[in-house]
Amino acid sequence: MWLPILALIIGFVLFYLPHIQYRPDYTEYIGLAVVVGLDSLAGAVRSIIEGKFSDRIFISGFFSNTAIATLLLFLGNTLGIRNVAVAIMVALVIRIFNNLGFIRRYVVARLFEKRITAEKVFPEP
Amino acid sequence: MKMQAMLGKPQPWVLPVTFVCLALGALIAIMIKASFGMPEIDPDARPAELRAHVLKLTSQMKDLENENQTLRDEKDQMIDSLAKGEQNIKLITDELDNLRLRSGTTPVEGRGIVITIDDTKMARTELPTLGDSPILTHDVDLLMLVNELRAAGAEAIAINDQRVVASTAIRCVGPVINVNNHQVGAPFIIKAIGKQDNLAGAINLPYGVLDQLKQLDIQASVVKRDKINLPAISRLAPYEESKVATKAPEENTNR
Repeated sequence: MWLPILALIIGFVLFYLPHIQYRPDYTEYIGLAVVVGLDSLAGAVRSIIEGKFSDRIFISGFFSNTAIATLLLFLGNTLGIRNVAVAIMVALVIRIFNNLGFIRRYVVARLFEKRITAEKVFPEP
Repeated sequence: MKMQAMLGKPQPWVLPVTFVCLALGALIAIMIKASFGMPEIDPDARPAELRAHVLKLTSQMKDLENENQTLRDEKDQMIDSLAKGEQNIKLITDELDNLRLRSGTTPVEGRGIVITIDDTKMARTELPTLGDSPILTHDVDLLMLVNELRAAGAEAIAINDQRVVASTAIRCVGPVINVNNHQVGAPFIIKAIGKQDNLAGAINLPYGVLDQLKQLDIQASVVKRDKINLPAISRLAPYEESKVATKAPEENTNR
């Protein structure tokens, strides 16, 4: 449970503390990768709650989404299509909000009824 | 699906999520450093202490300027007396050598850097249609470079073996650039003698001259060389109007 949070802090500290100056040329791409990572995490938490988490799908999703987002952005920049980054961000953020909404409803339901499962909160249609 | 059970033994999701979190933390760190990348200033940078330091340095500078002035006066006196033949001729030749070195009328050698600048590949193929395109190297680019080199303390500069001296003009003439009224064209090889680290540092400054050129797709490189030979200026136009002033100009003449 705490391992991922610890890893987040360790990763941040490892790259933040050394006195290396990163050039701001590729912040667009890195920002995109950050949002892809957040999307993957939100999706992972949701699937853990639902009890159908698969590490293969999670890892492959993270990498392929990063690659596709980078590729799309690169393509857009090369072809001179503007605001591709914004378009990808919108798509990803919508997904993040969807998953966060799911997580929120589960958490709220658990707050009021202790012994509840995801199946009870979200019955299969 | 009990939280207590999840906490007890390692779950299959822990490792992958940990890995992605590690990557995410690294990415966020890089992002923050890149966006707010200005060199960190110590928050309690002791303004008072710094001000005292500045004042001290300013007074030191004033002292040195005074010393410089007295030494220069002494030198002038000595040269005057030398001209009267009172002392040996060696000091005069030394002074002459020094002046020749500074005026660029003699070849020089020494340590320095070599900057190579070439128009972008795109410019070569599309040059006729692009006309006065920004991706060609312009006279102002060279001027900026020379200015930067001089600011960094370059002692002698040459562009494509045309020595840059005090009277050198660098200007665009059609598709080529004139330096000392000699045509030079791409690739431009700018050699500068001086403290290598200072020169290279000034040129490679982030968002400095070279970065601006690279943004225009102009190919540029900086190499440090231990021995650079610069030719003398080929011809200096004779001075017709200027004469050595007989007395020092009065200060505050603009009442």
